[in-house]
Amino acid sequence: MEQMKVNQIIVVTDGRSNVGGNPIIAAKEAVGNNIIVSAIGIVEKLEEDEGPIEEVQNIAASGGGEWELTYIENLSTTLHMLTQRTVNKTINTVVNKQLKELIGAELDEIRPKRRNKFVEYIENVSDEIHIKCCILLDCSGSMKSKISKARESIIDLMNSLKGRKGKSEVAVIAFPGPKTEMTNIVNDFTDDIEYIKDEICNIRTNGTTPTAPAIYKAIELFSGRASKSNDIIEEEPLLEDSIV
Amino acid sequence: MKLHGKIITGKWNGNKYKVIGLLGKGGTGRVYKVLDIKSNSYYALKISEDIQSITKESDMLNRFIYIGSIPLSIELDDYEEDGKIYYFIVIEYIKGENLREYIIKNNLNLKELVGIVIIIGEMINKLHNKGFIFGDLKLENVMIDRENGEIKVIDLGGIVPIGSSVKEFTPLYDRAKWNMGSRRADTKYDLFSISMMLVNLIFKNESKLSNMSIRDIIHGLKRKKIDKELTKLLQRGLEQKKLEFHEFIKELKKMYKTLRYKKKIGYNNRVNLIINTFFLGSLISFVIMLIVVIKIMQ
Repeated sequence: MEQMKVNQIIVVTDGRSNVGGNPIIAAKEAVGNNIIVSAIGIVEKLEEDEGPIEEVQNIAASGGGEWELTYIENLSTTLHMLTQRTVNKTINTVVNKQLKELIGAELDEIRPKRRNKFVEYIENVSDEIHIKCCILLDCSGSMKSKISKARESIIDLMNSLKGRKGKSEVAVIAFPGPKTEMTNIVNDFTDDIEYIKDEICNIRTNGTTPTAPAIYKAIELFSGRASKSNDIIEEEPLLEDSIV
Repeated sequence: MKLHGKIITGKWNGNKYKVIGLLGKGGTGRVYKVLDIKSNSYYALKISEDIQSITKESDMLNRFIYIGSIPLSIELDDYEEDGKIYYFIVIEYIKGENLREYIIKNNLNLKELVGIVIIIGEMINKLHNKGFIFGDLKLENVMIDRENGEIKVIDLGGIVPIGSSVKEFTPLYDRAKWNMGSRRADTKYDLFSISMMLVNLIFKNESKLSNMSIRDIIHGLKRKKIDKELTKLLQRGLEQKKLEFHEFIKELKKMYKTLRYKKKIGYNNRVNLIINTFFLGSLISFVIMLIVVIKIMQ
């Protein structure tokens, strides 16, 4: 169980992707690389404007992850909860597989009263497991007023992860990047909270929402090699502030 | 999943519960008021898709039943709907309000507030002795049981062993959010949250409180002219310096007694006495003068 690792991409966005390919296909490719893709939609009012919500759900569905809608004020709690759930789900899957082999039943099929030992075990593992988490932060024009809260939330996720016994690494990718780049690696995987704090200050908001290229960039970071992303980026990103 | 008006039948134990209404929802699930068909009595039923949190809460309720101030756990079971499994626990239904609602309707004095915090603190102390912390302490998780005249702490999902990470928290009571420490579970995590809880009970303004700094809070307490020693104790509690959780509760208990003492010959009473003496004095001199004037007139 010690070698078990959780690789997670979390897309944080307040709109629908509008340039650079289909994020749902990108999420599928991530799964092929042993990475779970979760998504958080930042909304003004819960349950309005169905476009971005649907995309958030679809990214999580094809990425094997979790999704959630939240106000920007609650982003930090949502990031924490979502990560917790993804980690538990990952360990659950492994434990269920082992249980099936050992006793021919999954956790669900064991009497509720007898489940507590397994649940306790899962909680212990979740505290010790190695977590690598790549946050893809939507930095399009519409995020302007929300970006400082978003920065705080990322630092706060690091606080949560650092409370655990296991190793935690966080990378941050902004999309779009400055100038005409689709993406910008704000910081590569690190467990140094001060380093993230310094780097994250440089994030600026402007332009379009190239969600798919950001996911491909994250896959590159995880696997340490170039992915399909290079073939896909042909369109000119940003330029117009009005496109969000 | 819409449950209102439905009957939930447990998959394993077969007990039937009619859903009466929603009592509350949190990060992990929803709590409904339900009617047990067999016994015709009311219970609270917490249901979630998260097997982890429901199983754990049931385990905690059973494990710590002897420490008191927590609701009775009735049963743990599964509910299947449209091929999907939900997990639920049935616990005692507490007739009353949570502390947050309660303080809005009832004006409690400082002594009463301190008293409530002592009761909660005693319960958490026992958890600490067993190697656990409560974690997600907040006004919403404290119920005032009107029927039995008791205080009960609900939602035990945040309980974690000392040394592991804090899994559930609420920003206002979370020391990491205030930059006052980590989310690694130690007894001082609870010390911060219980101190913040008492501050919140005194200020009664959560939105204002969440925008303040720790320094602002201390200044605020001083300005409010809350008992000086209590202000000092709260400061030490928030800073978690040279103060253990059990010492905090011990100090509060000592203060609880003196708060009563001060009430008897308190500042206000003395002021009243002074004011009354003054008025009585002027009345007497007025009457004497009146008599003198009347005598001269004659």
